[in-house]
Amino acid sequence: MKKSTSTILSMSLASILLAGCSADDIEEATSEAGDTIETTETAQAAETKQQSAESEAIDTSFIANKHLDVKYGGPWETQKLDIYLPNEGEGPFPVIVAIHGGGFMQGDKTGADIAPMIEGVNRGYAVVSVNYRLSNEALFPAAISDVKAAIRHVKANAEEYNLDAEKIAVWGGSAGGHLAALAGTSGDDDSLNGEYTENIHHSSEVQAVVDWYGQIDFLEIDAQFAESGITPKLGERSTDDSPESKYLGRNITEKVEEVKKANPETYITENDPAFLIQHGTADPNVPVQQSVDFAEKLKDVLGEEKVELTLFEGAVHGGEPFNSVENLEEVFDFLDRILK
Amino acid sequence: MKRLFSSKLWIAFVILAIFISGQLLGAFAIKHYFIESKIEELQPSLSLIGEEVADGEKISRTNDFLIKAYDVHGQEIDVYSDDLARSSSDDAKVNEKLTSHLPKIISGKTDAEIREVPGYSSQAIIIGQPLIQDNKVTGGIYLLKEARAYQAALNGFYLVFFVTLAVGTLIILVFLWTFIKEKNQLEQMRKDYVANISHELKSPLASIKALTETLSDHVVTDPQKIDQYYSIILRESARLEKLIADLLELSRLQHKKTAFTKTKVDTNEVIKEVTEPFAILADEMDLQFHITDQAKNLPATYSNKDRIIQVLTILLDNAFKFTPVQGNVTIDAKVTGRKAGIIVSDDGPGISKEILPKIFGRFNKEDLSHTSVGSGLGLSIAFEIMEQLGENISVESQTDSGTTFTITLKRA
Repeated sequence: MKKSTSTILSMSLASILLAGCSADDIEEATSEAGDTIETTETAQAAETKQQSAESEAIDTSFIANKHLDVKYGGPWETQKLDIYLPNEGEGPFPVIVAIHGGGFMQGDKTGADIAPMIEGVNRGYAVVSVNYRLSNEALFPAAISDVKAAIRHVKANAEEYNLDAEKIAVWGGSAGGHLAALAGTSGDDDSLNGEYTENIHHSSEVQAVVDWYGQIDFLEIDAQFAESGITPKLGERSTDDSPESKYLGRNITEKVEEVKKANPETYITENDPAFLIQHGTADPNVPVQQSVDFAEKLKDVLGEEKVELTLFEGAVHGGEPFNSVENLEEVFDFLDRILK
Repeated sequence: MKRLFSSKLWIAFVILAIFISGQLLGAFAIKHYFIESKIEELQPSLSLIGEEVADGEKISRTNDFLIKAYDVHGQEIDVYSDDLARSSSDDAKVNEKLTSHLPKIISGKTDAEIREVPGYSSQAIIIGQPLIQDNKVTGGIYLLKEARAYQAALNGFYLVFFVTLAVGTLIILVFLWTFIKEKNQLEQMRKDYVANISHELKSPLASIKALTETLSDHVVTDPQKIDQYYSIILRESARLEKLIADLLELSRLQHKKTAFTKTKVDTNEVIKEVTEPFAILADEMDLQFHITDQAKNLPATYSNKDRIIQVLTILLDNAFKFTPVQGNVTIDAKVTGRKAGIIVSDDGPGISKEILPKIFGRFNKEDLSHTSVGSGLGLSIAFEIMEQLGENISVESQTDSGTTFTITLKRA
């Protein structure tokens, strides 16, 4: 009896001392500004707005000169593009290849998210809006090979449409941003060409890329959200039904090789085009760090001058700061510098 | 025993867990409070500096805090107008630590924490927030300031916590130690008690058995001797009976089931009632029995009459038992303030110093020869009764010059 009591006492004393040491190790007492909830709310509002906008078609009635539903190669109904030419000017016109977003599984070349690109028609650009096969039609690399095929089609038929084949920019948001970035870096690479090889003698190289909040490295998304303290809106990406997993056909964690192939960073070379990358810092769909890291890697190879990175404070996945008049001015300034 | 031990261990772990979580919570609360107050204090100036840095302006160095700024890719931006170089290895470590938080800061979260920073003697508070120019995030800016007050508060907390803990543990230890000691003593007493009682019960029974055997064998034929045997058997049986009755009485008293209802007691009546039989006995035993005038004129007391009679009987009984022929037994009284004391004294052989402290315990009869009549429980019963009544019983004795017992009673 006496023995057991003294054992207990000596044990508790010893552990109290231990506790004293461990308490010094407490770190992590970070506090956050109370704007998290607010951010999420605006993010949701913007998203619903964006979704409803995507379902509406853009108004292109003011454009006199256009070629719609042009097949660019392949038998699929989705493998078509629209060409909008400026109402004024002589040509050949520099080209903006507009790529719609929608998480690889939805969206259309006439969707409202193309509206900022269509603005190019008023500024002397021909805008080519591309439909590509979505993840419910065909898996990676179908979408990127379609985009590349569309670029080749533009180059091959530049004269017919009065386009300047040497002055092409790709521009897209979200999944479209990803495809634009990938098309930009992999222009000199044939590995993503896919099965339809129309106009294969033309390369899909472009001169400028505007990447709006596109995902870059699918496998990093979850970790980057965790690091940033932002609650991801679409949940974990390393699940079977995340947009990226659906795009690759299986959980991205089981498709590490394919993720690498789909990563624009894989193809960065010195002769890559100029990049303008824009991202909202509170983006709950694609972490801003995707663009930050991508821009850094581009700058390492291309130099500071060819890569621009704009991070909009508190902006989410699309919406006002991107589509604002001032920002469009900035984007077209960038394009004008490269293409005019 | 094994189960008991494991359950005690469990309790120890729970207590331990409470201690640890108390400490952690305390430290966390201090940290949280400190960070909150520092954010409130420093963030406005950091925001101002941030605006300047975002505009590409240089700031001048202050001793209050250090400013570090990075672009979105973690490249340090030189913010100070002078170029006072700090030791570069420390600087690289600081940069590495700070840039690891850039993703969070770029995402618009203000980051604040207290941590070790190379080049600082104590821990430092770091507050980080994005660098914003025209609504565009161009990087992150950090403010570093030594957190001496935090360290002091934390140290103070630990000191108080540990001192309290140590003192608390000591008190518990002492308490437990006393408790265990007491328990062991009780245990020993119980063992002694059982041994004594067995002995006390065994000796009369043994003589009864031996004498009865002798008688039933018809070995003894002398009628005088047979009568003597019968009288011994009777005496021993009576002793046994008295012993068992006393044991029951004592056990009854100790179970506190007896009523000790107190009323106003006419103390003189009590003295009269108690002394009457003993006066006759004194004549028979050739003893001098005195009752002083004080004892005859006691004020009324507030107590239980029957119990007082019981106690006085026990005391007188003992006095008569141990006083030799021609000896004196006296009942005296002393009235002081709110108490009345009744004193029973004799000039018998007295009680030796060794035994005196144990006199009120069970079976501590000084004379253990078993020839005297009595159970040895009388004083235990007296003590128990006085204690239940909330009164005192005390004894004074000198070898060869007699013994004095005093009981106190509350005056009515």
